[in-house]
Amino acid sequence: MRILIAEDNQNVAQEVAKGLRDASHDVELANDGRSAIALVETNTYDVIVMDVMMPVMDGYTAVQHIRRQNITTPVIMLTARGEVEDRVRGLDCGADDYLTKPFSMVELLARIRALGRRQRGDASPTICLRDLVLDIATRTARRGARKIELTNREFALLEFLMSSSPTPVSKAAILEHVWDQHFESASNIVNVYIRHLREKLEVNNEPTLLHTVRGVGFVMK
Amino acid sequence: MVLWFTLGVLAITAVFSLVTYLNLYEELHEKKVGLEYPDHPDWRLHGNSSDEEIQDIMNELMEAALVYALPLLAIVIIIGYFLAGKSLKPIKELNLQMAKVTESNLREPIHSSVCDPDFESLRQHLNALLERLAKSIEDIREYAAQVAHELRTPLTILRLKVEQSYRQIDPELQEELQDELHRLTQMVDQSLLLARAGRGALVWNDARLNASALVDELVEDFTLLAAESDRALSGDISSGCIVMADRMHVKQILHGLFANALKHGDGKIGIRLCPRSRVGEVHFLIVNHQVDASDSNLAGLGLGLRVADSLIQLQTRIRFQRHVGKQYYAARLILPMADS
Repeated sequence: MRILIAEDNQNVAQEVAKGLRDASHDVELANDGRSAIALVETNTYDVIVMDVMMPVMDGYTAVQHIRRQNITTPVIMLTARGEVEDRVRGLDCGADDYLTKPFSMVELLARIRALGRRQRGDASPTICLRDLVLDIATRTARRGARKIELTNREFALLEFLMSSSPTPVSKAAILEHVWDQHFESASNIVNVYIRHLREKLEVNNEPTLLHTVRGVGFVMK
Repeated sequence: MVLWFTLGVLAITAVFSLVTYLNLYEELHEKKVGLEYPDHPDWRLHGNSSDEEIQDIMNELMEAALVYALPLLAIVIIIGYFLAGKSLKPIKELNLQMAKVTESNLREPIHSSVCDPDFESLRQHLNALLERLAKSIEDIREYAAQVAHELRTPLTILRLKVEQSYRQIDPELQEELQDELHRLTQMVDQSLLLARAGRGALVWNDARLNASALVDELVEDFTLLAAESDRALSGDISSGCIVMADRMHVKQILHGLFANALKHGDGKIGIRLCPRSRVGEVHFLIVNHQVDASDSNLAGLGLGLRVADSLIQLQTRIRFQRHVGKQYYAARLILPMADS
């Protein structure tokens, strides 16, 4: 995918760009809202990653301007402001998604993939990994012919791990994606859920799907 | 105002009637009746009204006064009501408009349909006050946003760098760094929230909330966490308890209570969610058994409970009670039930 990153902090911009390039995306950078608009008006992007607080022109104004030009490229807002009213303002301006700093690269990649799928009208209701099938629409999981009973939280966790596969996912990224709010995350809750999920996914010596990557987190492969 | 007007008119009428009554009474007693005889112009018969006659006259006067008093009273009330309504109309207008003022429409000016200079001056002062309030809230928001930006941007850089250099860092160190970064992020979030609460910049958005589903969701997590530390979490959650509250804030308060219960004590944790329809409330009770009553953190010195306290103070309809027993700690959160 061709992605534009509009971010005034060079360190953040470089790290995000590196993460996206590692995931085989084509990345361009803009320092402020006005430069981003100029680039968007002259090039075609699949996704725009836009910071909110930028000099010259902030992210909200830039997205409004882009939408007024009838450019429908999906926009993910990156911001340090995590309050509900800020999110609402961002989405009202025309953004498609909203990610609060600090964020995990895996989380950003997952959101970019989701937006890309939505843009292509390719919202497949199932995710498959070997003999494991997750049906998003009916919220059911099967391994081969065996139906797996999952709670809502376990389902969300499995969905995140499967959609990120084969990239390993850190505990912090899981906490933010599955538990949504930072206050909710107790330090060992992820390990507890992963253990329960393993017990449900791998019975009777079935091949291991959910692996621990030391120092990184977990991966489904 | 109608009452004051009515009392005023009635008092004036009463004083006037009393004076008239006394004056007439005096005059009748003193006035001499003179009869003249046409055939004898120098003859003149003088005399007074008798006491009975005077009393009859006065009684008639009283009766007439009482007969006219009721219609007079009604007229006075009607006129008073009309005048009061007219005079209070601009106040009612202002009141209605002020009641609709929320954080999101502070800059919408207050209007008045009358040109009275006093009301116009009041309207202008109210608009100036709202403008200053809006500016002050904006300043607080801007400051909070700036602080959040300054704190979260380096955290973002650190986190992205740690994630991307996982092949070069020892796995154990990597895991430790990630955990610490996450903990730091949580602390920054909670500190920013406390700062916003302290400056009165937190907003409580009331909406219908299924408290039973919310508690169930938290129970799922905390039952697993309790089992990890060989403790049992059990309870009685009535289904369909709908309250009026801000979902995120209530979730944060409940999370703080669950986390606190798990952090302290060794025994079982009991919870209960039940409606009290008669008083229009839903009660959430959490009892933590086998706790050390001398533990000073129990009563809430931790950041999590401070946040919960600040959130509870945002909304007067939410109450929080706690009790430290000899071997247990109980906390009760009382939420307003939503109208059916």
